[in-house]
Amino acid sequence: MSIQAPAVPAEILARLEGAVRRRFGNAATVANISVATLGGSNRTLLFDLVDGTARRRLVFRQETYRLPYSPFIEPHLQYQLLTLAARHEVPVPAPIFEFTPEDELDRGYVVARVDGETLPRRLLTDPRFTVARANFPAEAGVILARLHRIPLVEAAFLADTPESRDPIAAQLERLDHYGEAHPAVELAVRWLVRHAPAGQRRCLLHGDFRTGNLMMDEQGIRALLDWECAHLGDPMEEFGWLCLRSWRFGMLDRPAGGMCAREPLYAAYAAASGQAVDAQAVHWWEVFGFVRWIVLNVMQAHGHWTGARRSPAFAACGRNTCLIEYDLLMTLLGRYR
Amino acid sequence: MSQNQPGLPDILREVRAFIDAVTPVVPEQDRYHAMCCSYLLAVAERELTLGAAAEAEMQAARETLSEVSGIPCANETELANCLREGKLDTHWEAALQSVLLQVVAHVKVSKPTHLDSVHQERVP
Repeated sequence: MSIQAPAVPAEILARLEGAVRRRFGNAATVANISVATLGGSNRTLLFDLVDGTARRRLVFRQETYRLPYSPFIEPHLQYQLLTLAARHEVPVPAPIFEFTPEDELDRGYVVARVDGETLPRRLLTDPRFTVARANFPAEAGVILARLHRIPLVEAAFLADTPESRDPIAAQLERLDHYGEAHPAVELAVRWLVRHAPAGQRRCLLHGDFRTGNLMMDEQGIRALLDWECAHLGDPMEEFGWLCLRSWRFGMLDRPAGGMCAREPLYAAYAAASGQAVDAQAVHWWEVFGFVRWIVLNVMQAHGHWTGARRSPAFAACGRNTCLIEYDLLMTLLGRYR
Repeated sequence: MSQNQPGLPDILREVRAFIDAVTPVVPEQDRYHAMCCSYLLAVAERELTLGAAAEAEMQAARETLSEVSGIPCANETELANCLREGKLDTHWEAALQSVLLQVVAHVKVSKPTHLDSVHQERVP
């Protein structure tokens, strides 16, 4: 395993330059290329698009690994979502173009770079982000209200994903593929089946709305990133995921993403959307969120120990599943909130 | 088969100490993986020293559940299958307590500081 940052193959850079010229003219070039080192199944590069005197910082995302039983939607659908979200004033990195067969870059797209910070440790503890944290409930409430208000017919292309059809069945199908027994998951699923909330709404969900996927500056949220978990479902799922104990990054007394209490976020969402947040339903979706997060970690570990995609981080995911199971069971017992 | 000193836990501890010492000065893009390596070495060390006891705790928790419910579940797979099939629905509270004890045993190996104080080992 090399200790150096992974080099970008020369043919990828050449094809990127070809893709840029195909869209912006023969005088356009790429420069100042850097590899973003944090990420999952994608090659992510930052580069400048240089066109005469104009220079713009963009982000290249290319799918490099296709998971069997993937919980992630394909890049083409992600790009469609970014375009849809932008049209409805949900803050996202501006879509620039997606790859076509002539580009010979397989699947992926280019978006505008948004300046800011995503690292939870900094966002949640650095005094520079005090104002951003204070603004979080109001901003997140408005952003989620806008997202959930997008007409379902415009997001119909997501209707047939496993998460959209049956989120519990989707988790169990994936877990069975990885061949590991997790009694804690089975126990939680029995509880979920017997306590399903009635009258669930259905709308477009980001699916991974949490600290870590929010680009923030010192004033607040600049963009919502990483749309590969988007699906159709109950908006309460979004709050259950955000308030998962795992996403508080140690700020256990600030359930909403480690940023704030639940109440101001719920109030802001209700004011912006006209829809109240059902705390009991959010609790159900938190229990579901633990199940989903456990299965995601089992997935990462499976990729490691089968040799498909090895790394210390993916190995650690496997040994972390019991920590999430513990939090799940303590939540079911009512000892964690 | 016996080997010369140092023993495995000692070796793992020493390698981890070195990784912890150099982590602040490795290139920034490698720092997260270095921290993961340190974490995994600590897990390995605890598994060597605590693994057998953890396994015994899990087995005892499953046996208790089998006695209470009348449904035999000899290992994790059988227990997971019984739960999936709804066979323990009428003993859900007992199943929850049993699975919690088994998970606690896992966490003692992976990251004991993650446990709530009620499950932390008391230091004599």
